[in-house]
Amino acid sequence: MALNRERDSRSSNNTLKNISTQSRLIFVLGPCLLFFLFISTMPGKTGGKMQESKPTLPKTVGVWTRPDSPQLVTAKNIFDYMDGAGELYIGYRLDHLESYEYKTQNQNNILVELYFMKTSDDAFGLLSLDWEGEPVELAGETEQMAGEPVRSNKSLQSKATAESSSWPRALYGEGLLRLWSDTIYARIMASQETPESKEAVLALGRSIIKDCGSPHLPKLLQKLPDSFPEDWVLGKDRTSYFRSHLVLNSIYYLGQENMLDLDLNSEAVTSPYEKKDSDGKKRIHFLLVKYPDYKRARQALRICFLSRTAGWVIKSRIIQ
Amino acid sequence: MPHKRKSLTRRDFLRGTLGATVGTSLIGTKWLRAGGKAAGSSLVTVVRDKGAMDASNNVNPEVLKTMLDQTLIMLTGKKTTKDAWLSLVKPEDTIGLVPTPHLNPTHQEVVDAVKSSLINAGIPEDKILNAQGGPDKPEACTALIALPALKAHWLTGIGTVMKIYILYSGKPSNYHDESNSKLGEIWNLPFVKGKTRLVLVDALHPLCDKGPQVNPRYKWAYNGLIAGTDPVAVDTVCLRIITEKRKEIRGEPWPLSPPPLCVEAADKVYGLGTSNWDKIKVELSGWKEGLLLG
Repeated sequence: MALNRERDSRSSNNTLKNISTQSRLIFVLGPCLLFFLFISTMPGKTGGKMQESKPTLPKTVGVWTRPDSPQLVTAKNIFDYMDGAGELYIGYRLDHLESYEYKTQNQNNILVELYFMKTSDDAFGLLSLDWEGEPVELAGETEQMAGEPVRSNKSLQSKATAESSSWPRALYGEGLLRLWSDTIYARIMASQETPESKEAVLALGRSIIKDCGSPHLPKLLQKLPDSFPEDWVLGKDRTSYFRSHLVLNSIYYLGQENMLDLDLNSEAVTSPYEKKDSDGKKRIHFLLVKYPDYKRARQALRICFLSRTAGWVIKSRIIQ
Repeated sequence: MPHKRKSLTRRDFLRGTLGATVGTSLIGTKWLRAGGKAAGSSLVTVVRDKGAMDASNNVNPEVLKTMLDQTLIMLTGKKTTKDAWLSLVKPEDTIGLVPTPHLNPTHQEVVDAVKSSLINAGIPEDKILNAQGGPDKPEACTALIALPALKAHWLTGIGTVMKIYILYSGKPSNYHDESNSKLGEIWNLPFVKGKTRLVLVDALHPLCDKGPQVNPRYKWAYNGLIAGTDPVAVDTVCLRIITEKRKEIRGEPWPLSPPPLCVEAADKVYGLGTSNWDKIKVELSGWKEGLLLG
């Protein structure tokens, strides 16, 4: 768990001048890094593995029609499919990806990507990288025909457990629907948003979640208090779950090395905590890491100390 | 996993000590400072037209052609487009056009406009190649025109100018994450060095979030072309636009992660140009709304 206190409102990387200015600020404020290495005593039991459900996508939605079979992508060929973006999915536990392109005449296509992850936690993690967008309640049991308006007689969120009900499971914005359901993370994107394409995208979302369960949130996420200390409030909309050093650095650049010795056997959550009434000017970045065993945690702690640079203060705590 | 070598941290980036840190870690690197750059300010042009794209973001080729002509004339100081091109390339050159291939790729209309303009300037069509790809592509060319699209990138912070030649390295993954600081070394490879005659950024419909896949929420109609002969200066201008747009979206600074180390390192470590804003002369033309260069 790392705490990095800085004035984010002043942290900018647009010019060297600004960089220099902010660095002085950080120095004056005194950067404080606290690492708490949280250890599981039950290796292999993390991750929320669920029985995999395979959604059945309609052959036709609105005026769009998909091919009979998807393009199948695995870790071996994911870079051919999406270039360096594949590193993201490798950084979680990707099983495989199924990609369908719904086509029609006179309108742009709709791309459906179903990422089948090895655990529901990984699927959640992918959604958690960006909470921007309009939370969408997708009907969970009714058959949705192409072109029908959104219906929410049984919402996806209403199927969720109480502790997870406040976290969106589907987000929509400007043609793109992103959702988490069971071990699936899905991206459904109309390359040109129109009222018709939005209806089709949401209908496809409903068809994906129809046969899927609503798993619990990652257990590690539940360790984050709503406030910490009491007048610092969790920034829920910027809370992310991940496993890899690459993903951490894409969320919050910590350093050049894999300082926390992260890999697919570890899991981590990070979130900002904002001081009440500070108007966003006082913020702490909080990082909680869980390793499979005590030995790994100690090793990570050692690497962290070796990697630190002058001026860093590291306080560590190993929890069993 | 011992960590003996110098580690580049968020602190180095924020303190502006990147050059020293990366430079130290790269002592002995063959292509370090192989480029060199003349002193003086670097000119970057920003030409925008509100009509460059329609409401559905389809590019208007006629408007684009006018923007390209204006860019070339502003940049070179020549009176005609033909003279402008001939001050940048020679008729006997084999010219490689290098567009961004993935994740918010360069609009084909931009590539076509450049090719058409070169042909009109007297460059034989068979001497104009698509040079995006592996190391064999630049080897076949005597001149390169970089045509990156303006975008952030989840593995390199910014994925515009300095990243455009990443495939020339043959090992693109070597330049991801913290190693994006080394992207400048590709520009100094023997078969790349000195060949770039123009950097023309497709800023019609940029992407300001890092991805890794396109989220349309983070694309916007900037309707611009950004150009220069100093790749670092052009990337510095691009970085400012991306940074300002992210700030506008969040209502507060929203730093890129990983930090775009490659831009400053291209200046301070590889000597490819200037990232010092005070040494960059930005000339503007056209639509001023939402310029993001304040």
